[in-house]
Amino acid sequence: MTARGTGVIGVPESGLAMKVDSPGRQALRRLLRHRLAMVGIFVIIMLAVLAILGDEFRAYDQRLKPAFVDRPPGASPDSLLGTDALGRDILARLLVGGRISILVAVLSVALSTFIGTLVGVLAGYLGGKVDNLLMRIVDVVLSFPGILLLLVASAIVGPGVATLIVIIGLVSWAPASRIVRGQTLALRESTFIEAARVIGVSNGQVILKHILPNIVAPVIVFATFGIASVIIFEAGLSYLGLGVQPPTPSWGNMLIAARSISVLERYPWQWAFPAGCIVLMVLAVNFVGDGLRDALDRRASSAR
Amino acid sequence: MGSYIVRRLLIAIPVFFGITVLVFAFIAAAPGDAASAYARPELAVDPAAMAAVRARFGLDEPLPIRYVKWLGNALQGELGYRVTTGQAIGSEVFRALQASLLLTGTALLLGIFVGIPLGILSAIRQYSKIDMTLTGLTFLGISFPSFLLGLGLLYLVGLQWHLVPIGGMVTVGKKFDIVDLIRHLVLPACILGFGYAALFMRYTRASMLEVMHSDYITTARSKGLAGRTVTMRHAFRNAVIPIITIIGLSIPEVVGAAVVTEQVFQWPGVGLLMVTGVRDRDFFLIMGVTIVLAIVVLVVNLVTDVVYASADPRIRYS
Repeated sequence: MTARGTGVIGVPESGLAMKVDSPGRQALRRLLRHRLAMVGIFVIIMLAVLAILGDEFRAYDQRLKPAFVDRPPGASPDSLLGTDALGRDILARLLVGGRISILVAVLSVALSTFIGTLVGVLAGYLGGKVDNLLMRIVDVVLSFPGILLLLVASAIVGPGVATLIVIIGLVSWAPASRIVRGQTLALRESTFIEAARVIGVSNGQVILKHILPNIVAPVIVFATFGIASVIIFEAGLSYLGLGVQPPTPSWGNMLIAARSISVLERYPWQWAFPAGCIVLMVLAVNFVGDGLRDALDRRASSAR
Repeated sequence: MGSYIVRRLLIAIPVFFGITVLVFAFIAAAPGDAASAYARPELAVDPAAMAAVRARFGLDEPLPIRYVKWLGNALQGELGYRVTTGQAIGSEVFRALQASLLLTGTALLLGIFVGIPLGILSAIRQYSKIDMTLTGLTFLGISFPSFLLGLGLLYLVGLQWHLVPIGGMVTVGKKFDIVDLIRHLVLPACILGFGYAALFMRYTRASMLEVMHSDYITTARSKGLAGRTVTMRHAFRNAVIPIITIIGLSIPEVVGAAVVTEQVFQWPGVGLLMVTGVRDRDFFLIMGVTIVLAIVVLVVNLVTDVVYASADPRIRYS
């Protein structure tokens, strides 16, 4: 066998040459074959592009401001998805709101993945007392419903986009650290790590160069599913009035309108479109997560 | 077994204190003067009057002492009084807890009794049409945000078809009767139950599939045991262990994560009470809900551990 990479196996003269792709390419190919994941990626790109480029298409600055009398609440050529109770254009708010929701999801998952990976690698690699202490902390964090900590924290610090990102990041790292710790424990015993240590590579280097690259697959999968759950988290908190604060729109806080039974009953477009966006995004991200798991983590593809 | 339970209890105690200290510290660090919530607004400008209020509620003492006093009272069920209504927090939290447990308990039972059998079915008919359908439904049930499903169904079933009441736990002003309660319960419980059923189904299926491929199952089959006996007596009893873990892991969520769904259906549970506390910045209420939930979560975790240990003889009680 040649080394991993795009080596050629077999005797070239015989014409039986066979190309072997690197593991990364193989995973990519598996992902590209995963039909639902491709649908998911398409939907995510569509929503993200709309959210990011939205203001290029529509001059919506004044559409985000209240306009009390002159716009009808329902759909019209002027406002395709109707307007809300304050006369603001739903479509314009959806586009800007999507930007906020996606931003919160991506940044807080980045934070929680970072903390989780750090804790997991340290616990798994150092073992012993450090491992014990860190894992007990993880037990505590996991044994209490995260959304309640979020509520308390948001009551105290005061809600807002930045607070939301930090708090969600701080309460949702525990599962990642468990996954990473398990992987690190297994890797630590493997021959190539032992070899690296024997030739005098420092602990930090072993972690950075040899362990992290080998646990990146489950971490990516975790982060993908994490984004879906944070979008739901943000939506729920904002719906309760404790997440993103109006007038800044987010998909979640546009649902606040639906807390009123009369809006829920008579003006469905005010809540159905943001709800639809959340569902679409969450399903799409989960499809991609499923595809990534199948592609990257063959062993765990039957059970999570 | 006895010593195992004692050990688990000993672990649970620091966790309990950890949670209460954390929340107390959070609240102590909160900006604003807690005393102002209890004083009449016109007194807030008078330092002497405010000092009197602080002394009256023990707010002038150092934090550790306040924490110990609060905890001492809390453990005797004295959780203080609501800022807005003056009602005793203890009894209110207790009532909310009953409502929450009724809702999430029903949902959890639905999840278990629907999810596990369907998971087994899905596993023994792997790759059949029914398996594909169920797996697809599982995916939906796990990834669909339950409170949005709640909003949608509330709109459809409650407001368009008028089949169920649109919120609350009982009809206001009506004498209590069980049919009325069930009518209020059915929609939120089914929505939460759908999520649990999906989760348990996925794990039951995976766990069953793993067990069904092991050698002892082949042995059992080849000595001529009936398919049903093999599935239930041999396969399921081993497959059930990871399922218990998952049920146990979802219990903290059972207690707390229905917060948003409770808001959608105006279900008077702990979630709704917590949100009220946060909105009113009523810190004693927040603390009260937190401590009661912490106790519930710890007790439930303990029970899960014990059930887990008795379901799996391989676990040593040490």
